[in-house]
Amino acid sequence: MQDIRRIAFVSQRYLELQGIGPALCGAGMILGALVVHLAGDASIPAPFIPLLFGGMLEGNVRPYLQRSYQRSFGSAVATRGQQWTAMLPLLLMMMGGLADITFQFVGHFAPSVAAVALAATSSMVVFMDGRCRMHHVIGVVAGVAAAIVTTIIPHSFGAWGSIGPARGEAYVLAYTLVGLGLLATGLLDHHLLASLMRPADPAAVAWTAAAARARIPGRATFAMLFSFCVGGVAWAVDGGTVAVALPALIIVSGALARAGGSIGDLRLAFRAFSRCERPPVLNAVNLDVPADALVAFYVIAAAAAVDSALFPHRVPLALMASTASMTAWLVVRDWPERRHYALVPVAAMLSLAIGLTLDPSRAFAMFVSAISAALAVAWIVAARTAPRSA
Amino acid sequence: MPTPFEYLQSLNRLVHEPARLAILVALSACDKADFLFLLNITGLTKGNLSSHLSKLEQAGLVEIEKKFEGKTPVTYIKLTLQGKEALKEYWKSVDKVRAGIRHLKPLRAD
Repeated sequence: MQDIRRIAFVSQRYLELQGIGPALCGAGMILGALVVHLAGDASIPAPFIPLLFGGMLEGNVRPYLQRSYQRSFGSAVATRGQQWTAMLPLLLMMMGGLADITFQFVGHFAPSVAAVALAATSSMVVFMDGRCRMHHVIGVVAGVAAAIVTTIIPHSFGAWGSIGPARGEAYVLAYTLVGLGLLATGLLDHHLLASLMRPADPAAVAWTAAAARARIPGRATFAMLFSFCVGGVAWAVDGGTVAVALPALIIVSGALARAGGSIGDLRLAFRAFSRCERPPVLNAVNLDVPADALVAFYVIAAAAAVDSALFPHRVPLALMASTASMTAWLVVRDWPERRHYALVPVAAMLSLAIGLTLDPSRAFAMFVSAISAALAVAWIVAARTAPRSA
Repeated sequence: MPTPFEYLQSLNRLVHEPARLAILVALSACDKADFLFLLNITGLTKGNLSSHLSKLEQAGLVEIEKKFEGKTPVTYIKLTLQGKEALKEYWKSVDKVRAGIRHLKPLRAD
């Protein structure tokens, strides 16, 4: 009977348990908060950049994530009600963010509506699913803490009607807390889904690996392009511009990688048709992510949040050090399988050593560029050395 | 009034088999699901799942739809109205068995 309950629960909550999307939104918000602090005085409404980052990252990656979930665990088409329930938390939070912006510019003093939305939706999940998804208490706590932070700082105006610096800092801290809450609940939801599902068919996994080996994966192309763009911009312009230009660089690199991937798909499709074969498979990764990788991802994001909240306007040392140590831990834990990723901790340590001599935003841009390049190389090597037998 | 054992005998054998019950429960909680999802969630082998799905399709409890999504072939399985009714009836019968068992008293040795 327990097994029947498990099956009914997973089928009913399949869309809601796909937590990598909300986790990426949270990671984007933390990254945005860090960028705001490194950019210093930005000409755009800086306190709301974390929301922009989070929404943009999740929105850009969503189609790719859906394909990846479909490939990893299969597809269960949700009913209209289930689709709304799954969509509601992020939708309410983004609408809350828009309400925050509006309230601040009309001078209305209120706690962050985005934070209240997170607390409310997380409470609803705890109320509905109880013990199964008790980890959403983290979301409730993060939302309430963020709402309190924005309530205790009174409203003030800066130059040209913008938000005063103290209120702006309160909002950046609130969005960092909301991001941490989203990240934790999203990762734990994904972990719950992966643990409730049976392991994927080994033959299907091997077939996916063999398909990935046939060409350079899209994510490697994206990482390489992103690395070149960030590196190039960091070299040419000042630190503040680098930090503000990062969201645009993510979009440009993503679009270029997609365009590049489509050209590759076209070429392969033509070759397949000329041989009367089936066209190539869609490019998507296996999302049956091991628990240790989820832990590493959370620790790195939490370190970025600590950098942003406790040491603003300084080189993000905690982020760099945690990236180096956590990736080294992952590589050592499973050396034969993850040996390609040994370049990543080396790149993180090098950027930590060199970054100390640069200004904060340039050091951050160099760190992002170095990690992206190392990941791109690792993914290409991993794809080339994947097992040949399907 | 029938005894719990009579209710137990009246259970739909097609639905009562654990693997088929798992498939029907998974399908009843969503609109439709693909073969890979059912494979992952039930832990059955491909051959086993395929054979159970054929039996359920023959009985008219599920509907199997094969199509292409982009470049990938996908097999979707959907619970029919008859399947929904059969599952509902099955749970009602199980509830009756459980309720009946609760009222049973152990026999005394004397």
